[in-house]
Amino acid sequence: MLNVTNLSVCYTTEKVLKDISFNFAGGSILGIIGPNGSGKSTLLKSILGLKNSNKGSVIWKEISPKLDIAYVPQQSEYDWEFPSSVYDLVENALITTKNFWRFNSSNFRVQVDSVLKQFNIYDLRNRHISMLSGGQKQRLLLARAFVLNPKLLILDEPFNAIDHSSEQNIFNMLKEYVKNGGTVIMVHHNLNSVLDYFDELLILNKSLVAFGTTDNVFNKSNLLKAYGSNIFLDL
Amino acid sequence: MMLFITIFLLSFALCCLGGVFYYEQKSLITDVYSHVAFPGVVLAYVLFNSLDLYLVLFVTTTFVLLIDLIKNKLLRITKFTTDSIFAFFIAFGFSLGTLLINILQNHGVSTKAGFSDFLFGNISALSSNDSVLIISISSFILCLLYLYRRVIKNYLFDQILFSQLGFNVYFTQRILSVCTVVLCVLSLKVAGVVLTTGLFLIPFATANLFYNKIKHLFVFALLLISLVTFASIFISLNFSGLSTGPILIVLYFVVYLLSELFKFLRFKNIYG
Amino acid sequence: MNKSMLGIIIASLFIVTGFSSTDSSVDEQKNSYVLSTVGMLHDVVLNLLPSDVDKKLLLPAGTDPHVYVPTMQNIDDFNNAEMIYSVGLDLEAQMHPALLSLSKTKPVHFLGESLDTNLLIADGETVDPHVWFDLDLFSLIVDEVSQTLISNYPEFKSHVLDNTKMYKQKLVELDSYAKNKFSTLEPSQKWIVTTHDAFSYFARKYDFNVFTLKGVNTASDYSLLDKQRMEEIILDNSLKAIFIEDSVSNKDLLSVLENINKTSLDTQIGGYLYADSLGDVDSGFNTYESMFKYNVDTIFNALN
Repeated sequence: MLNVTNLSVCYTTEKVLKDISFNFAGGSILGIIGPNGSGKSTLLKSILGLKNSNKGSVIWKEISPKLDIAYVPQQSEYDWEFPSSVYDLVENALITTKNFWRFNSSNFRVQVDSVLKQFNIYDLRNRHISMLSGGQKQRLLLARAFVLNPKLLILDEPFNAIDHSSEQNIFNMLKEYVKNGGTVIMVHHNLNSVLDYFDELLILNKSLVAFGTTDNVFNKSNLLKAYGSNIFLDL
Repeated sequence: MMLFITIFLLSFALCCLGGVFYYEQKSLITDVYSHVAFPGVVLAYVLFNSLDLYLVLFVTTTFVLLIDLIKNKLLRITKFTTDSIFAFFIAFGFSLGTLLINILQNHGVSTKAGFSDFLFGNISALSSNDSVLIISISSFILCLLYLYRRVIKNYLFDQILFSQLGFNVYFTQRILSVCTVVLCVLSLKVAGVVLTTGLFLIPFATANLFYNKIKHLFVFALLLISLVTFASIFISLNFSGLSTGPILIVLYFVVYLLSELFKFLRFKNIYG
Repeated sequence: MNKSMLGIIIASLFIVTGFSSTDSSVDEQKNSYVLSTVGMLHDVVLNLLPSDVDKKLLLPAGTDPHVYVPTMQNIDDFNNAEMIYSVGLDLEAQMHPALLSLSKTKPVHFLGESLDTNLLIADGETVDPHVWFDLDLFSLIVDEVSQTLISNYPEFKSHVLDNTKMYKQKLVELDSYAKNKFSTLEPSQKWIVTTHDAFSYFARKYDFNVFTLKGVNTASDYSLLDKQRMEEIILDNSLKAIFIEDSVSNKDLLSVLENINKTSLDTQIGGYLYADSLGDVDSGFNTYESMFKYNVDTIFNALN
């Protein structure tokens, strides 16, 4: 699905990513972990083409970055005071260049309602988005991504600032999605749940520390390389 | 009646675009455009020896859009914040306009041309041709904004998804800029360089205090604009020596201040 | 080279350039002149003084003195002048502070302010500065210019006195010309409708009514009420013509005319009037006499 070769990204003189290479087959949940400033979000944006790389290549196989991928940035990147209801936000994700001038809400009602129910936010459909909890906002963003029927979901720290039970709910939905043929690439920050969540893992600290199945890669030695001695984990 | 419709439609179009820039967190851009338009007006006079609104619209819009390209390039390469760059262009635009007028002044041209009409606005001197131009362009832009309202909503909330849905972010930004610049230039005749930004922002900001549902927000804005426009014209028709443009802005600001004081009346819980 | 050395060199460069510019202004003072702010006063000085003394006009023809902001060049002109004539009464509002400050070091004459206040037209605190349109008042100004020129140039006393007599005689003839012309006008048509109020003295002298959008100052604003009143006056009196001014935008009056022409009344623009300055050399109305006569003829032809 995704082949990254010698990917390097610089901001002015500072190298944010250095010679990243990996081959991800898809059909599972890939976690990306690393300390703050290790280039996790930059990697996501680079593989989506949202950030220009200075070197290297990103090749997608059997998947179109524009049509088949849904990217969900961090919650903090959105203005939650924006005048929109939950329903409107999900519905607007169905407006494309092909239908915007003749968009008829009633044609998409069933599709939108189904996704809202899937993410347990149907009852909140008329609520203003500023009045949602952290978990509800995340489910909304995921619902917006899912309504596009993507083959691949790319998520940037989806469990930031949400409670444990919401996190569990969302994870279960993602697992269901993967079971039904989808793929997830996710930046994650909580090392305690890595083994439970991810089939494959990519550990980053500006350069690639390790990539492979979680069992093989998630060990003390790789974590020390990535995080230094400031890591306490009972493995 | 024609005057009311002219000011009303222009104000409503400005308010809609003001909302776009509010959500883009670039409210000051309207001030940049109005100040940079000022030397454009002088340029129009230098080229055509006339300040006919059709000519001013053509020359000034072209001039402002060129400066806008330079500004955008600067924003990409500079280390300074966006509002700093905006401040530079506001100062530059006004200074350049003043300088050009000083040069013309020494040739006995300045006040004869009528530049002060564009500096502070002169609604009373609007001819029917001017009104027709303002009404038609404002109506056109309002129709455009209405047709593209969902697209603009997506653009404002999430530009990444917006481009994934097949839309061109850069093209959308250009269209919005062109519409804003055109309305800005027309607004110079009504409110002038100094006050135009008030027409863009204050009505929208006031409406936003009361409603957070787009439809209700703009209906409220519509009512506010018609009320204030009516009141301004009424005051100007009953008191001598008071220019209508400043009356508009002062009334909008008073309503906004009162709205901030009476926040408990807000209908923000309109969503269930 | 260390930083303090560099600072000393840069400071020295500034000082040297400062002195050299001072030197050049000393050279220019050798060519001094009598400076007049507006063309009407300049015309008097031109006619009274012989050619031995240089004369200079500050504001070129067509410039609005109400809003004119003096440039650095103009400040140089003030500094190099031997004596300065200005109308005052807030006509040259933006340069008044500079002129007031200069009056402590050289003769600066605010001629309008030398007139008896009882002769001036005032609206509360605001005095109309357009005194040159009343030939009697302008004659008093000519006397004042004459006296001040004689006190500064006693060697030219007889020349100045002779020319003053001739100039004042011209004013008398102008007055007769205007009176004769206007005596044949219909009283109901004797309205001067313009953008700003520059013709009140003229109107007082020749029994005209005046209505304007702005007051005596071109920088003032007007409201829809003022525009409505102007339209009412034009319609009520079935005025044949309104007048635009040479140094002020005509857009305001054109907008009034547009509304008037929607009715059955065929009011026209009667022509340009010289309000706050003389015409330029090419116009042929660059003297006070020709300008005044032009205004009289324009008003008469439009309203006759």
